[in-house]
Amino acid sequence: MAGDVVVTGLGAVTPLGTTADESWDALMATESGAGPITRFDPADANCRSHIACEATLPDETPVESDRVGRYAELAVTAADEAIADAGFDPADPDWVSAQVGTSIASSIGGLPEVEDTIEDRVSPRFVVRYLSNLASSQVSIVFGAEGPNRAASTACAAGVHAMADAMREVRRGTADVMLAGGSESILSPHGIRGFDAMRALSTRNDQPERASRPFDADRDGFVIAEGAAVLVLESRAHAENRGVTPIATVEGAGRSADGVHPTRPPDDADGLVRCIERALTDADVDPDAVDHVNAHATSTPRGDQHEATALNRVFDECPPVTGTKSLTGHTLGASGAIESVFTAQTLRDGRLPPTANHETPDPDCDVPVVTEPQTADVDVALNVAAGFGGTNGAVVFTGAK
Amino acid sequence: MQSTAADQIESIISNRLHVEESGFDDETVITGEKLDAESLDIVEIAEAIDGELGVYLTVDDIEEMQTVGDLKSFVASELEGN
Repeated sequence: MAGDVVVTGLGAVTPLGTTADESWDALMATESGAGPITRFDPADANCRSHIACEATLPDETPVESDRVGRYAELAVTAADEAIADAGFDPADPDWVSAQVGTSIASSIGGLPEVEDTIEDRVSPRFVVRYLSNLASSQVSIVFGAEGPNRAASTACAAGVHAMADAMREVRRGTADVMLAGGSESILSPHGIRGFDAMRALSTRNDQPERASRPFDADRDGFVIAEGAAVLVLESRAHAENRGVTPIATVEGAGRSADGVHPTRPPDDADGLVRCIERALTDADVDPDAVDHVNAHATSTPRGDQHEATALNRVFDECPPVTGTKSLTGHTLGASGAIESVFTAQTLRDGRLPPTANHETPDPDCDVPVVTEPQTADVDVALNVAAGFGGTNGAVVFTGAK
Repeated sequence: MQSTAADQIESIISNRLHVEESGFDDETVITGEKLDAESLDIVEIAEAIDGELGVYLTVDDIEEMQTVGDLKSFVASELEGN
């Protein structure tokens, strides 16, 4: 039922910071995570886009880097923070392993690990460093989460789908607690060249911080990024029994497929409209009640136009919209989770994050874009995502009650 | 130079879309019935043009192209510009 699942902990490693609150503070200060690619030489690798939002792992993480893929290490680090933030200690009696599950998405899994291996002798750890369910699995192993184990891999909607999956496990009672999130480390030559070839990436190489510009008329593609986020979702009753104050409530989720084309969504945005309407119905929330939208807003010409079309169809009067990828870049399957963290923080603090670089509004993206950080009464917020394959996800959060 | 580039473009279209070169001409609409190219086909053609002729087409450039002739003219003008 709507209202039965609450958020009690947040964790994130993003291009803006090594924790959820560091990332939030940088976001609210309009600090960009974008810069030249340093992980390898993009010119040598024949990339057209030479820019990215790179994340930095803390010096110490709960796992050994050479034993897990980078994307799994990012997820475990974010989960460690989220569990502590929720006031949990996996050694406590409150932590009933069989009732704690994981739902951690990744669009691609360990692509850099695949590329590193192509010329080499194959390590016995190779497969378990790249499989796209291994972030979810490593979190379950490190923290003893032996309940339902899920790993959405629905491209750039996967992070939001992971929230939806986790919410359903808690609603059904198949878990009391779910570690829900997404993780991606895509910064390798093929990771970038693949999107480059599709003309999906910005080539504003001389101005990395100005390259991601959702809904701006001069946008030319997304800035690729890496990172992870994990939220602790918990049944309201379980949180109350622990004496924990929730950060936000997960009210409902929706998903849909366009069923048209792998990369080109339909002009009328029917699939995304259906998805958002399903989320609002599931949450039992009237569209007029939505106060803020954390949009998918990747900064691609067609994607942003498609999303604006959907929002204007769902809402008689579209609420304020933020594209946080303007500062974090696009972390693919992690983005829906990172933006769910930002949405929970928006509700917690009553502050709307900014959209950077929105300088020339695009008439084809006629939505009210939040360009400066601002305080606001926010009771209901929507997080939207869409991915290649024509897959859509939306999740509705409300403030703690 | 221009005719060579035009020939190469015809060959790229033929190879990528699996149609005989005699099956289309400059008036043929790229997304029309004869070629039936969809968006990723067109980007594949653009990538092949970049690889073989060194002319990069942006998404905006691609969206402005209607016919095979439009594509040839654009590439020819870019090559002249160089």
